[in-house]
Amino acid sequence: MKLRALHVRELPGIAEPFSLEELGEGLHLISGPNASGKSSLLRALQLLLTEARTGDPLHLRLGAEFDNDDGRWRVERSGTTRTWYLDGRHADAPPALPERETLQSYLLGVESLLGRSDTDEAIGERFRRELAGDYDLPAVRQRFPVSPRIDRRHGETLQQAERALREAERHNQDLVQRYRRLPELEQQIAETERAEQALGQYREALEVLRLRQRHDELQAGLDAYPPMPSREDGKRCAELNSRLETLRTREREQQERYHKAGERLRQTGLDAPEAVDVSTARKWLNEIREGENRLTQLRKEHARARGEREEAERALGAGEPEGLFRPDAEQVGAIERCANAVYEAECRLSETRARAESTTATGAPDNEGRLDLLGAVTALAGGALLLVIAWTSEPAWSALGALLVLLGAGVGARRLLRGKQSSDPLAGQMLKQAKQEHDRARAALGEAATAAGLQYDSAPASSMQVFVDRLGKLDRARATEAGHEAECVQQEQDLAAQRKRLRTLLQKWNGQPAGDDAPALESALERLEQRRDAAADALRDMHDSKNRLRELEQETGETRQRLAELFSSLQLEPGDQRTLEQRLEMLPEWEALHEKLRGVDAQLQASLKRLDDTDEALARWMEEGDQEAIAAAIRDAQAQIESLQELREEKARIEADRDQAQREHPLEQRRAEYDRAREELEFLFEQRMVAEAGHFLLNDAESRHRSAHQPETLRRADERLRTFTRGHFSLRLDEQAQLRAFDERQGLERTLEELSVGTRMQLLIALRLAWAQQNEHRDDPLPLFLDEALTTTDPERFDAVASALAAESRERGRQIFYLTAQAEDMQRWQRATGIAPQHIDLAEVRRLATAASEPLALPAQRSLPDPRDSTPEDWARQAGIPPVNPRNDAGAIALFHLLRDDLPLLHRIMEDLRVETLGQLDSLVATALGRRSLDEATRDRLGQRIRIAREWVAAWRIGRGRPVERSALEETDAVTERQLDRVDELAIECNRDASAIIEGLRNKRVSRFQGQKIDELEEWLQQHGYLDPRSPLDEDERYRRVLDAVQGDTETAESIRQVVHWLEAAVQTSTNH
Amino acid sequence: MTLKLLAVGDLHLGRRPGSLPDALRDARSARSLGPATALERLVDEAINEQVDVVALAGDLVEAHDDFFEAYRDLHKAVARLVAHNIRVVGVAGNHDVQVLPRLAAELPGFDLLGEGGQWEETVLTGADGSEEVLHGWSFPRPAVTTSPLAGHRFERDRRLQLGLLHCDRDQHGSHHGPVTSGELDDAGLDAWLLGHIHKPDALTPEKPSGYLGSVTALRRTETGPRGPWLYRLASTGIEAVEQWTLAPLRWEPLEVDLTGLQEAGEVTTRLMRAVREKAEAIVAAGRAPDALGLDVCFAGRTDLRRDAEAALTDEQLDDIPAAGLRCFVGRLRFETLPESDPERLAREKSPAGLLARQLLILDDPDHDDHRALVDRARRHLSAVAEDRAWQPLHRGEPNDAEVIAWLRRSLSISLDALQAQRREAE
Repeated sequence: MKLRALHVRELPGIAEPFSLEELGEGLHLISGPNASGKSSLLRALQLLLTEARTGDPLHLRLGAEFDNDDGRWRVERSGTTRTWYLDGRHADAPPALPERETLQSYLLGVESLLGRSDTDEAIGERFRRELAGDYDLPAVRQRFPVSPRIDRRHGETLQQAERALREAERHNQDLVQRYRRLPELEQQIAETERAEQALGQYREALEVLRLRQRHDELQAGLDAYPPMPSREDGKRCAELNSRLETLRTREREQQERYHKAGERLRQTGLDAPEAVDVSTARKWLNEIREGENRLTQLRKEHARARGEREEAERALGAGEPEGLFRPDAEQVGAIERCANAVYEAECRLSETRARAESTTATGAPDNEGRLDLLGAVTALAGGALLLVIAWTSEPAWSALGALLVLLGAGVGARRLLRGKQSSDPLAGQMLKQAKQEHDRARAALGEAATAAGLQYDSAPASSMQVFVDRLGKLDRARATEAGHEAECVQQEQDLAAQRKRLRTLLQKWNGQPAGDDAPALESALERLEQRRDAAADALRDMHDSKNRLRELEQETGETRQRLAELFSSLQLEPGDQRTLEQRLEMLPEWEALHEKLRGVDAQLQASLKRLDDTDEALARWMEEGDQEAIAAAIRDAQAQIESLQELREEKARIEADRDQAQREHPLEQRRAEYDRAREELEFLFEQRMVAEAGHFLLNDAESRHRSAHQPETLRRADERLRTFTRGHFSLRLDEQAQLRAFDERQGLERTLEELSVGTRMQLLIALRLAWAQQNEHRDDPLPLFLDEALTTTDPERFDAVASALAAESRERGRQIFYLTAQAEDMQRWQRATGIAPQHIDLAEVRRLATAASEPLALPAQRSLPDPRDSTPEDWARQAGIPPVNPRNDAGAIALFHLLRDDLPLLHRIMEDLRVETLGQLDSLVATALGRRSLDEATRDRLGQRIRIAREWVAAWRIGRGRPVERSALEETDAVTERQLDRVDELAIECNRDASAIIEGLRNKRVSRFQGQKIDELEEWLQQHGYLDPRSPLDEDERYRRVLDAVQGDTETAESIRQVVHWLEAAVQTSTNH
Repeated sequence: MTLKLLAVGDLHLGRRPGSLPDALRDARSARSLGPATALERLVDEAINEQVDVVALAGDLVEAHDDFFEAYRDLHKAVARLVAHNIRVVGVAGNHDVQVLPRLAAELPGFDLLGEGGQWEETVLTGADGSEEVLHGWSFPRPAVTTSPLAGHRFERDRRLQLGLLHCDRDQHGSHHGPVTSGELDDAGLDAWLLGHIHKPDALTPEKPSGYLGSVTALRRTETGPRGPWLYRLASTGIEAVEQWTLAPLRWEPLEVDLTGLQEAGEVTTRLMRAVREKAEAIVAAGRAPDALGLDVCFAGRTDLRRDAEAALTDEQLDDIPAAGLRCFVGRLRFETLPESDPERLAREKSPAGLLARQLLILDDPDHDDHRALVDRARRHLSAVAEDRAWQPLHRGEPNDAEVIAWLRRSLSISLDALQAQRREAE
């Protein structure tokens, strides 16, 4: 369909309406300054050719006229209303036009070429669907995970395990070697121990000699001293002296005591207190006391008796004691005789009574009567006795008393007689008789008594009885009194005698009593006792003192003796205390010296003891005091035993290591760990190989499928792009079927965004053009509008694009409208296409004021030197052919290095096809241009030389890797934005060699670049071909590798060698390392 | 009366068996399944059976200078045999050139034949006074590149003549005593008791010469019954040859056909059944091992490969009790193919079709593209194999068999995945 006119009546941004009319065939150049409406033309066309939609300007009045086989079409748009006319008549349907997205392919505005548009996305999506063959190949690829990092980590693990195993083996070998030494070691140790022991003895011997010498020195020092007391001696001496002093003191004390005791003795007046018989005196005193008591008692009794007597006298009427009856002798005799007669009569009476009584009752003897009789007899006897006594002694009244007693006895007898009556008539008769006799006797007595003046009751028995009783009492009282008196007298006499005796005793001991009485005597005796005791004490004291003095004397003597001995032992004169003290002052010094000597002697003895079993030689040396010999022996032994400790430690270490090995099995353990790590790595290797095989086959299948089913559009676009860029770039889809440009020179894939603006525009032009062609349903191409699409294109590419568009216009009859603000574009088009496009000056059409601008002069095109005039080397120099840098992609190799033997062909390719590098040529030979320009044989030859070069570069890169450009550092995630500059600096310093860069990073030449990131960077570099751990190949190896890869092709081995040689020779020297 | 000679192949004391599950990797468990235990058992059995002679064919220890670890086990075992009046003779292999001479020096009852690389013969006397002659040759150093038989002539007499030798049979260029089968035959001995190769030959009275094999499996690849061989020798000849399969660990390959799999869970059933059958067969044969390691390969045609793989991830395959044995899966791989006919699939104009075609090419060595495919794949895989990760394996370039195996396995996975996508899409 041909555009014949375009009317812009109302359009936002356009002030005055304008029209383009009478538009012809072929190329059109619409020029105009900025804001002249060029882009508005595209907008107007889009609005005319597409359905109205939201967002379209409302104020529109546009029109266009087209021609096709159907006729003349006219389209009018007013606001949202679009109307088509065919040949002036309203058309029911518009002409067949592409979809809106596809329409963009015809309207190539510079804005839309700056980035990806919806059209491009749609195109890409279509490609993806077609190339995938309805399979999700990425999902299949996920079944083959590849983790080089993990693999390397396991590889390192195996290396570590291998190192550990080797280490264990080395350790084992070392242990074996060391263990073999064990017997020798033990022998050495034994010898060394002997030497050690000997060394000990030698040292001991040396020590002995030294000690001996020292002993002598000390002894000499000691000998210089006088005989020294010991501290003990000093102490002893002091003690002895002190003791003597004490003894003296005590002696004095004892003497004083003795004297004092003597004085006390003297004061007692008793020289021999032991002779003082105090006990006898005491006894006598007691007797005296008793006597006095007795006397007192007697006197009391006497007094009482006197009282009784007086009483009795009173009872008898004797009156006062002075009137005491005093019968004469005759009277008394008479009384006595009468009394006797009474007595006898009483006795007979009693007997008779008793006999009579005893035969009355039981016939038993009458004890009572006997007792009465006995009593009576006794009383009579007694009385008789008393009478005798009393009569012979004083007082006389006592005889009276006795008489009374007799009387009384007679009375008693009478009573007795009157006792019990007998029933026996004989007995009674006798009894009567007895009584008569008794009465007669009594009467006589009474007469006698009266004659004597005694009141005698001649009354019957009872009065007699009373009289007798009274008389008896009086007699008794008198007797008693007399008795008592006699006793008192006797007692007094006795007492006097005792007193005298006692006093005499006391006087004997100067114990004169103050009186004779017991208290005085007591007192005197007590004093005597005290004196005796005192004398005894004094005597004892004196005795003790004396004994003590003897002891003291003895002890003093002994002490003096000891002291004398002490002094003697010290060779001092006895009592030479001063010298002793002087020596004692020297004692600490002497003791110190002596102590040293003793110490030395002790050491000496100990040493000698330890050397008891020493050998003869040593013994002799010691004996002779040969220090030199001993020192020499020590040196020898020391030399021998210097390593003893080491030997022992070595032996212990060997044994410990052996035990540890037997216990822990380190060799087995490390081997097991190595085996395990190896198994794991082998497993991973298998996994990886299967994964890589999977990727290989999938990539291969995908590639072939793509090749076989590549969308025509893509193929066409690819060919166009190669043509546009002279083979520099080709078009492909990546794994995600995203469009990519492949830099044939550098062998790198680039996204659209990574391309320069110009290249991107050219790519999109190629793509949209191919798309448009593919989607045009009939051979009725729509006009193509390019709005400043080639503004940033370099001249060569401009020519290529312009030529392609001119060819499109020529071959397919498509109108090409190129909109530009550059006046010189007309010349460019002319130069590129050989024809002048139809020129429309939009400013003129719109009658806009424009500043005239002169078109810029186009730069002259480069021309190559004529190959006929030069050697290859000269030609290359003239043409400025760069050397080969195999670090770069093979595509960057200058073609010269492949066609040195055919410079004319080279010239033609470079001149006509504008191709300079291997990559460009490789890309171009597959295009129509390439097929047109080069025959098949040439293309084959070139293709094989290209293969040779590529294989050679691959071989050269083994072990080298690509140079790490800044772009690579920017690409990897391992280098942050902040680190980029510093890492790039390092890369420059390292000549962009990846392994040197990594080494530099590990040596911390870039601070804070962590180890993990270094690993990450290393892996990335290796993955992307910058780092190759293999060893580089030499020239022969490279040639053989190339030969192996390409042999079988039409090129001969010789030609292969030739090309390889050229390439080797052309390598830039700075790359050779 | 016969003389009972127990011939013992490679032991490699000082090594532990590999490919064990985690539960058996600790030192104690691993050693209980290793050569030390195998040695102990064969000594027990030799004593119980009152063998007359134990002949050791070299490589008794792994490291030639392992004088502290493996040597101790060896010394103890030989001393026990000697203490029970069992004669012990041996030859040194490439691994024990130092250890066995020391053992001979320290243990009077052990005879090292052919020390220093010189042929030596000894007379074996049976209980009945019958005599057999045993010729032996020991490695003088770890690497021997010439044939020990070269230039040597054995003097024969009417007695039975046996040879005890550690060697590499029919491996020209070997560094481990290369001999040829012809040399062995020409030697004119009645039987060769050979050490070095761990895979035992099928020794019989009729064919008594060959490799004794390793006494117990040290690697997963050492499959089948392992153990020493009892030779009953009489003046008339070899009466019997019997293998004492007393190895504590045994490995076996186990192929499980998944053809006709209806649902994924069935894979476990089939696997367990196969394990059980294998275990029962081994137990029935007598002298069962303590542990049975299985190298499992799932083969056949199924579209449920991925599901089957998933079904097995939760299975406890490290300890499978079967027929009284502790069984474990040491390696498990799938080499199944989709159910669809690869030839039909290969006709598809799709990536799946292309892959199916590759499979057919691989299976047909005569195919025009077979060589090219393998070479291309090898170039690609060689580049990967040169990665520093694999350097410790010290591998050479992959060979055809490996490349083909990897390609087949990857194709198995790819085709399975693509067919699954097809089914989902349908």
